[in-house]
This record gives sequence, C-alpha cells and structure tokens, in this order.
Amino acid sequence: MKILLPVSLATAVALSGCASYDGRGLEAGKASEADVLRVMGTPDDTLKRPNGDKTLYFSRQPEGRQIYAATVGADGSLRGIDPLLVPDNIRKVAAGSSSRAEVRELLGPPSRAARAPFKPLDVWEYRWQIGADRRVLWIGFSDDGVAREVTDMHDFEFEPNTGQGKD
Amino acid sequence: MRTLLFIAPLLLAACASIDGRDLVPGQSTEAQAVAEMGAPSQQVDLPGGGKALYFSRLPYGRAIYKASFDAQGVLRGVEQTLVPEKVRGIEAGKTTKEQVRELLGPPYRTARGPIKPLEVWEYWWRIAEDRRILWVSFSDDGVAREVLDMHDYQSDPPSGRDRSK
Repeated sequence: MKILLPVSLATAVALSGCASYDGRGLEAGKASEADVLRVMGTPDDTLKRPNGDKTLYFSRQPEGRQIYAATVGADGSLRGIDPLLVPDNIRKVAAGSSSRAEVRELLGPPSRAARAPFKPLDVWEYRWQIGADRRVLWIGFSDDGVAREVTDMHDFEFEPNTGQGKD
Repeated sequence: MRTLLFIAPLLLAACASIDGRDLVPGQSTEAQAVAEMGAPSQQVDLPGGGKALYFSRLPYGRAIYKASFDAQGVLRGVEQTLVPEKVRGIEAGKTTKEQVRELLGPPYRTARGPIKPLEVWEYWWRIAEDRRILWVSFSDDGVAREVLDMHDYQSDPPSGRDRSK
C-alpha cells in the first residue's frame, strides 16, 4: 500500500502533463469536443449558440487571471480557442447597457460575485492582467440585470501600492 | 409644569433653523451659527486661517450646509453642498477623500467590502423632486475609484418605466 502512493503520485504528474492550461496542442478543425475536455478539464460553463455551435468556458480564475472559450461546431470539431479576459473584450462592457447574459457570454463566469454594500447592485469579479500589470475588473448589475458600474483597476490586494497614485 | 416642559423644546426649535437662513454673512459669528444650526457634523480648516463648519441633515434632509468663516471667526456664507455642480466635480481616479469631505461634507454612512477593497461613502440628496443617492468608493490610497449617482428607488420606487435610463 505504501508503494502505491509514489506510483499514484507519478500517475497524477504524468496525467497533468497531458492537460493544458490554455488548450495548447489542440488543433482547430482536427480536435474533437472529447479532445478538448480531455486536455482542458471540465468546463465551468457551456453556452449553446443559435447556429449550432457550442462554447465551452474554462476558467483559470482567480490565480490564473484568464478564462478560455473553446468553440465546437455542430459537427463536433473544434473551431478555435480564445482567451476572453483581454482589453478588447473588457472595453465592450458598458455601464447602462450591457446585460448580465451578455457579460457572461463575453467574459465567461466571474471568479466570484456578491451583493454590494449599500448599493442595490450584484458585483461580479474578474481577475486579469495586461502584461505584468495584474488587474481586477468589477461589474455591478442592478436588479433588472443591467450593468451600472464597471471598474477596472490595478489589483492592489495582490500587489500592494509601493508608490503614489499608481492606478 | 408638565406643559412647560413639553413646550420648551418647541420654543427652542423655533429659534433654530435647518439651513441657517437667519445668519448674516459679514456679521454672524461661529457661536451664533452653532446656536442657530446645532452642533456641526464636521469641521475643516480653510487656507488663510478660516474654517468651514458642516451641518449635515442626512439622511432624510438630503442636504448638508457648509458655513465658512474667515480667520476672525466672522461668517462668509452658508451654502448647500449636495448640488449637481459639486457632485459632478468628483472624478474617479483623481478626487481624494479629503477633497470629497471638503466639497460635500461628511457622508451619511460608510462601509467596506465584501469583494472590492474599497470604502463606500453614501450621500442622500435630491435634484428638485428627484430623490437620489450618491456613492463614492475609495481605494486604500484615498483616491475615489467609483462614483455612482442614481435615483433612490428604495425611497421612491419606479411606478412605470425605469427613469434611470
């Protein structure tokens, strides 16, 4: 029994060697949905699209600071894998117009959510980064499901401020 | 005797005023302002030796009165701070806690968390009949990061269409 432990550890290491954080090695047009699941793990969210495509969301939050979306066609083959927490996507979130469902489709599931103090808003959190700059994005939704507050700032909790006015 | 005890506070209240309308700029003193408006909720030293006293009527009064005095302790003027021009002066990423305190006066209440490492300050105010709430959130370096001003749905629920849109 004692010998089994190192063996199972070695197996775990060997298995994790097959898994991939960002889906590297999966080829669009060749890989199947089963390949995607084997390499990237269990999706955190799945979205069926009107054209028959299916998007699988793989969150690496909070430490990973990225969420990947693998889109699989109606024929079951991989169309592509995209990182979602990128400036172009984040800029699309608009206070006063973006809905909860739109944000979930655009960015994937939040790393956590909670009710704001005082404000009648549900706050979703995404941890992401631009280059070496670790950032936090918060989106506050009013009860009608519309984004009212979009705040993106340096992640002071992760990396405390050393100077003045670092944003 | 009972009747007198009951009436006395009413008589005193009749002398006091919510907005300090009986105070005279260039003439009234700090002591007169306090006698008129009650104990100040906040005091800020002004450049040049003067000071400003803030008389908060929050939450239900939806107003804060700021009485400014020169170095000699003579009233310069009384203004209501919770007005659009001042509220719009608060800028995310720029305005500091001290600046908001001086601009508007003390918040009605403050809180922190649960997710964001920000301290939220709340002000109840109004534009004419439109009851509103202003929230300003500060990061730990004292800089405002969020400014949200919206209709106060709790005090005045929507009757039909969402008026914030």
